[in-house]
Amino acid sequence: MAYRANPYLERMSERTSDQEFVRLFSPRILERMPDDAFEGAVHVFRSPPGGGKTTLLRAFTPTALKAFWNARSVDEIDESYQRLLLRGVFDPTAGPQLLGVFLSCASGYADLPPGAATAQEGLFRALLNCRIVLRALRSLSVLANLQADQPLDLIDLAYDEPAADLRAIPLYTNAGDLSRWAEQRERSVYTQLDLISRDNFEGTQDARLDGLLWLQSVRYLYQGKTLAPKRLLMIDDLHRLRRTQRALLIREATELRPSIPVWLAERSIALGDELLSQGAREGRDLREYPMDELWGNAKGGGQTLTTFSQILDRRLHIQNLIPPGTLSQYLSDQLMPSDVEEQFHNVVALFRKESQRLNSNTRYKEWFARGETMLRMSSSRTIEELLSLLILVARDEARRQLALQLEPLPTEELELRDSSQVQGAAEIMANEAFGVPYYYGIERLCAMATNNVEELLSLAAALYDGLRAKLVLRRADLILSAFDQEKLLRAAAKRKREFIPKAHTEGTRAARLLDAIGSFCREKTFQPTAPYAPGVTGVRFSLSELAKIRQLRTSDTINVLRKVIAESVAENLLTTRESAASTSRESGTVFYLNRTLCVHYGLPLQYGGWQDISTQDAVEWMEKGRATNRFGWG
Amino acid sequence: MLWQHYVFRRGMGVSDMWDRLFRDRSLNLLYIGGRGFDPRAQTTIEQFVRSVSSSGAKVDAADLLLVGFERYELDGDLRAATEENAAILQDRFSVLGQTEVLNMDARDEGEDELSTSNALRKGVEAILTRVPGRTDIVLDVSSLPRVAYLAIMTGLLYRLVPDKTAPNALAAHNVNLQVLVAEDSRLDSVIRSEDPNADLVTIPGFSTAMYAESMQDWPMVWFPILGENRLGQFNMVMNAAAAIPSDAEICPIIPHPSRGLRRAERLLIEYKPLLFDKLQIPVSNVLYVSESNPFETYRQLLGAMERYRKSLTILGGCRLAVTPLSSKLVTLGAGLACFEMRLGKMDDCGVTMPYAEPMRYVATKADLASANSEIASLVLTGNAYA
Repeated sequence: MAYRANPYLERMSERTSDQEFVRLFSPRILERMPDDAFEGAVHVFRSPPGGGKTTLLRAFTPTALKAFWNARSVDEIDESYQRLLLRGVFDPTAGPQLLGVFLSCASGYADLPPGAATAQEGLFRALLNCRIVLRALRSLSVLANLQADQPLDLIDLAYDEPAADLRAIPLYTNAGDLSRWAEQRERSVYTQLDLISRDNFEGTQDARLDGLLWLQSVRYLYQGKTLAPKRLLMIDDLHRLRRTQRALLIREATELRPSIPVWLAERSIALGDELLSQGAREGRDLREYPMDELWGNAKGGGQTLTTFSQILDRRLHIQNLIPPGTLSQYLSDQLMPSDVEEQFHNVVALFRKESQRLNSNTRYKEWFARGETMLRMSSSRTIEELLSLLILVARDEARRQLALQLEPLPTEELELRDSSQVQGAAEIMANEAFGVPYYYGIERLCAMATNNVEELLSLAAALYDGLRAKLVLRRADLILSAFDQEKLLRAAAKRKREFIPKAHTEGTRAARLLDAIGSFCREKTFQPTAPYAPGVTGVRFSLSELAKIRQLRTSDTINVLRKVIAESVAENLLTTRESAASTSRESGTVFYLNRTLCVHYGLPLQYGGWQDISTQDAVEWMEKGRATNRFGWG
Repeated sequence: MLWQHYVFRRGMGVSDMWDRLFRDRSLNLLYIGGRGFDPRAQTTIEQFVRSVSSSGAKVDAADLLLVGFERYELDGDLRAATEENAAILQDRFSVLGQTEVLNMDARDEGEDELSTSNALRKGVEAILTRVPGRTDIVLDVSSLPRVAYLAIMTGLLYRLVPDKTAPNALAAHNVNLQVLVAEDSRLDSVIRSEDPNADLVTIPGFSTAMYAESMQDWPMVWFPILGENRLGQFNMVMNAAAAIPSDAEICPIIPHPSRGLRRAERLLIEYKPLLFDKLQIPVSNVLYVSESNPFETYRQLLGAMERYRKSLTILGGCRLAVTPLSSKLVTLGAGLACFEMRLGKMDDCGVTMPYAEPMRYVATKADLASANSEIASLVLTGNAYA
């Protein structure tokens, strides 16, 4: 039997052909892109890795645009095509109108020789300028449909007024000549760089980002027609630059007040690095777009579910091992009474034990009587209701120690005190203490992805493997039960946790810190009173604690902590949310655990529950870990 | 092929070769070693000093250059082992001459940490200033990190063999360059390397093919040399932006034959989910190289690179990338092949060595104490080739 590759294992942006890329591309992101992202200014897109930055940028490269154009009559491409048409990227008769120039900052800029600031900056600009020219001309040959044996010399160049001011780039009127100039210039920079002893870079320094001005003022003429009148400069992986290079690029690109959109993409940033340059005004010259908002953030969870489901289903269509359909139809989203019979009996035993313990107390008599009526039907819902009841009893007991109220509580009070939070806490406790599945169904799968497409795909890959195994074992029902899903997803989450030390620069410390946060959150979540229902999944640093971490001239351990937290945020192991000040506390930043890691630590998937910690706690956890305590009913 | 005929000795053969190499000769020696925690360097330096002392050589000058690194995360035991090792090396060499320490990290004023590639470049530059006038240069890689010894070895070779077409190029004006390795593949496999750096390192001299925009449209052939427990680094190189393009031809290199008869099989099993399930690489792409003879590795790899270069000329050129993740001897062989390919013309082929550097090493005292190594020597230039 031949085994086909798992369609969820490939990262869309980097390892798929353009034809596959356009088939898998979700048009939702185009729908959610604000109009001003296509205006002349500097636009910064941010997300952790796998957050969809490169996917978005790649969609505007000439090869992808041509693939969209060629497949525009195919049903699954039509929506993307229509959205691009609305943006003016295509002309309905002439085809692509936009020349997207895509560059990555991972191309060795950080390895430019350090030294005097002006020399370093000049070399950086020189390399960037000739690369903009080279990539633009090569992209142009794709748009012009030049064959491999047709030289760029067939394309003529003309310039608008602002080009007269260019100093670093010659105003050749032939694309071939300019391409050869740029190649030669880049090679001469690299020949110098590859020599072990380098001392003379004077001939290869530029004073300004002329590449950007060139791109916006050049006109391309091919066979008497103007090619690609619209331009877009896309620079990916900004975080790969040195701090000074990144600041220079943002500052100078903004100060040039570009008339074409300049898209910069980088990883999420925590604890530092101001983005705005002197004189640049946020809003007009420089705009920021967190990618998770474009995908549909926590507030717009519905959007995320729709978009992510679409991504998953498109992937399922490119394989033929499993009959076509949607992924959700292969994932059971409910628990049958027979599935949880054993768990139900264990919960009933706990309920009876508590009922017996409080038998002499008239205060909960009616509540327990109400609980007895629920025992007739064994279902996951009943399990949650019984546990909700026990949580409310525990809460009241704790409060009574202060209040000393002795009158019996009516059942109406039980309903009044029960809330979705309490039910959420009961659900995760049922999972923790009694093994009732919690991590299953398409909705929770999407939540586990932490707004990150790459994580979504790796989780879906685990489920796909489960389905494939069922096929190999000739199981009649090609559907993953809640138990199957939870087992597969927990295994995937464990792999993610175990891979942290192998995949991150400060991985060992990050893993220790995350484990400690996980254990801290569990301790707070699984108390019988569920005080932070449905649970705690993040820690918060107040403004004054953040100030300690941000301080540059401080102890080595704080510096390391800053680096570990920044890297964890950049890698999506932690996600940040601001928390506002209240009468009793100052404002701060909450660092929530990655949702897949929440699965590993057995925590709920909702946001909202956090606890304050101090810098000292974090340092100790990072260096020494944190002892775990026993808690809950287990 | 530069090393069509080569000088390679191991075990007892090394001492015999040294006896003949140093007999009744004047020496101006530069001995480059690592200021690391690996105790194998002690065995190497001890045997070397004993051979030189007993050979009747006249030592005009001898300097030990200990190359140190502070950028790696080591636990208390390994840090103590590093200090102890450095003291012992200095003590053993004191019979012949002085010791100097060269730190290969250092930060740049007002900048973030110096990138590893730049730190290596600065370090190699500093080493090359100590080369003029030497008759013998010894590079002991036993306690040096992979990127450091590859950078130093290729840097020295660039200096000594600037033109491979020159007659007797390897004679290098009678400067004997030899590389020493204390090989213990068991110890290599128990030293765990973790926390790979997210920023790729390219060995100085090999960055053009990786980054030059004018070469980006050339097809890439990637030769990852597989080693145990290196999946994290492998992934890091493969997924790093602008590193290995999706259409790259991937030719995994597996050390076989090897001492451990099932080593190749274990490696294939370890990498199977990635190489064969996910990337769907044809099994016929796998290359096998000798684990114990670096010159055999060099020949095999150089031959494969040449064949790809010739085949892909029709597409304008090609980029050849080698990522060494295996043991020291295989890595040295790969370094020689890359050096020779790089010396050729660059208009139809570029060579690069991308690597994800681990930032943390983990080993127990007991593991280090149980090191049982065999010395090997690769003579790369000098009298032997004159």
